[in-house]
Amino acid sequence: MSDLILGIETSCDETAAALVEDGKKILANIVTSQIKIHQKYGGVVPEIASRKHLEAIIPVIDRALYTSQKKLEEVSAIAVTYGPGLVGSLLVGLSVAKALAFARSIPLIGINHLEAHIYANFLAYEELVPPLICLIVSGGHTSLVQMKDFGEYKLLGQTRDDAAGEVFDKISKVLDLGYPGGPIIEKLAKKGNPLAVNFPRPLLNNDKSFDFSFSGLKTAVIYQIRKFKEEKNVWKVEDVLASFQRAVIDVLVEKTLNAALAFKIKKIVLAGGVSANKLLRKEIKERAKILDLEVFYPPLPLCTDNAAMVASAGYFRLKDNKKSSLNLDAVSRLPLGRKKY
Amino acid sequence: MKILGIDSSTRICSLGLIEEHNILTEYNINSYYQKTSSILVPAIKTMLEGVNLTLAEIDGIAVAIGPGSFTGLRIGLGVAKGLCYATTSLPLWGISTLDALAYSLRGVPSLICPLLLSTREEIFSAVFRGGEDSLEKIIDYDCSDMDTLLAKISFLKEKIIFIGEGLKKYQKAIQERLNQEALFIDSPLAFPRGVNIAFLGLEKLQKGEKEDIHTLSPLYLRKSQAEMVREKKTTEI
Amino acid sequence: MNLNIVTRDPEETQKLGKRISKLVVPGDLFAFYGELGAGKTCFIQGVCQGLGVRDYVTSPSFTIINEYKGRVPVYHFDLFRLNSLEEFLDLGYEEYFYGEGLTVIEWAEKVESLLPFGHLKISIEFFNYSQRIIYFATSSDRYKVFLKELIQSENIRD
Repeated sequence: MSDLILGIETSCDETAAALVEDGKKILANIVTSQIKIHQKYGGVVPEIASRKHLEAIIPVIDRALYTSQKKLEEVSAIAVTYGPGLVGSLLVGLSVAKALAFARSIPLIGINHLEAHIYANFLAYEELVPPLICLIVSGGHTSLVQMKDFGEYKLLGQTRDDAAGEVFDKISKVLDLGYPGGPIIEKLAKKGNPLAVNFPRPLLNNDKSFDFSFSGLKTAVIYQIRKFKEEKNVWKVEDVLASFQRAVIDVLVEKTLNAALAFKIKKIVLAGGVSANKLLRKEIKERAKILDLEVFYPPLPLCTDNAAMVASAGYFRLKDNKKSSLNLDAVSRLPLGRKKY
Repeated sequence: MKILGIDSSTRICSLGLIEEHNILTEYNINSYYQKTSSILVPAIKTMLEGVNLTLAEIDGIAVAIGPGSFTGLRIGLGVAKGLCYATTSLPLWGISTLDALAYSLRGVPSLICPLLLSTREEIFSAVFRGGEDSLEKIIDYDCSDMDTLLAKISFLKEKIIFIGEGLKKYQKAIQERLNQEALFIDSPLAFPRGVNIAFLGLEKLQKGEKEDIHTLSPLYLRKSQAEMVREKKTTEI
Repeated sequence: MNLNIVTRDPEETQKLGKRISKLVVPGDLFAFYGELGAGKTCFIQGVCQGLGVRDYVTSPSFTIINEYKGRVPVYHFDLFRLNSLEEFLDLGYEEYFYGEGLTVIEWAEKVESLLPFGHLKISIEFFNYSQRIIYFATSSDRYKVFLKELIQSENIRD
């Protein structure tokens, strides 16, 4: 008999529900994005996000069931993101998930949002199995994780300051380009010269750790923009953006490949919103090929937050008989695979 | 008719189960010991098990919609919506916490002013006229400072009962300002209890009312920014 | 009362934060001002280091509040994304502002009217690419003492 998992995700600004069969087959993947609402604020506003989640959550679940032509009675477990993320937002999805699990007497499975992002790859590639090196990179996270087996993770490194996607958002805000910054900067950077400005590649040289740091790069970019403006030179914003994007990608690619080589793991997966960046995909794929490494990344709709990845992760947890208790609480900072400091 | 009442808007997470005019069971827990987000669903489970009932044997759920802690309200509403959605045809009612607080004084022929005091000096209030078998709201829900509230009440020349936990510290200010007789009930029992929420839900059931579980939202009352700035200035001087 | 200190690079900014941490007592509140890239988080990282926080101190502009365990617990607010006071009210900020830890707030100008009377303003401005001028200002007695102690300790060092 097949296992039907209802996934629920409300960790940031997307209210999402999905039905996934046996961890691989997506029957419905519904995402209502609040991006339009948050655009005018230049970022996610927590209180607004929580309000919108509460309004959208039941309609989104209803829509997922309708689309998949399934009834709630056929669902074998509820998988829900319980962290990391905005606590107020997480609690909406988690409260509804607990109520559904209790009312239907089916298992509740709490899922780490970062873990879910990795599972977006298992949805896309039928044959993919661990061990893997995972680069999870989004507006809120930048982590390198070694996935030894299903459910077994080791955090190799993470950002010491800003997340990669966050720096895109912030620079976009400084230049008044809009939100989210990633896609906007990627588009403009195409028309620029990535060699125009030589920005620092933080923690790339003389650093053997797999940690990231983007705050210094952010400062350098902002300072460069100020200088150009003050000097009244002729400069192209596209050049600055292309150079900045190149610096970020260089660091991400280099660290990830180093990790794969250091741990002798042949397969790399990208996950999270920033993994939608086409240059990042192209760059890492090309460089990995030379080193005889394989790179996987999810199709675009599965890069950003969605509930199909949560349901998929939930399926593998269920198979492992790892259920959550009904007193599960939301956790804002939840690392995937502890790291010793 | 069995109704489950849920309030998670204050630091006491309060549940009640009633059948017609009888309380079947009640459950209150201070969030100091167990966070509301953790305890709510297990508490509902434990409470139902205590009276050998299942969710399927309940006729409806009444949930507090505030005013109160936004996060707390969203937890309660999320759980209530989930339970009703999973148990098809289970009706849901949204009940104001101020109605629930005033409900404790049902049948007292007087003006009743329930007060919910938040940590940030906001006062949630409403004024009801108590009748033999009714509570008629004569001043709508509001969030304000005490001055603004008293200005609204002072023209009512009738006896008024204030009820709410922690209102003692305002007693003097209220008495000085009001000309009418005022009584004060400041008791640990003066919080929006789950059973009161349930009784108010039952009233809605009898009137044939029902909420849309898709759209039901908390009452997001908030003191106006002007008041906050004013208050800030007075505390700084 | 005012005090200005110039730092040469991020490392020095961080070290200044570390030195200041020695003077922190539970209930303190530092309000930070300065544009993106000025070094607010960098300064706070130093303070946290000095307080024995072992976790990475990252900018919480995504989650608004980070809490760290140290000699004194640290509540780190980043209000970059906040657009109105309304937004801030539901974070339960009073428990932090009037709590038993050190509260540090980046982009404090966004909640200026809610800051308790007793707080220390720390404004970081660009001098050039790596140098920063750090302005300290307060009108409360607690931080006047704090700044005097800071001046003393700075003199001893020099």
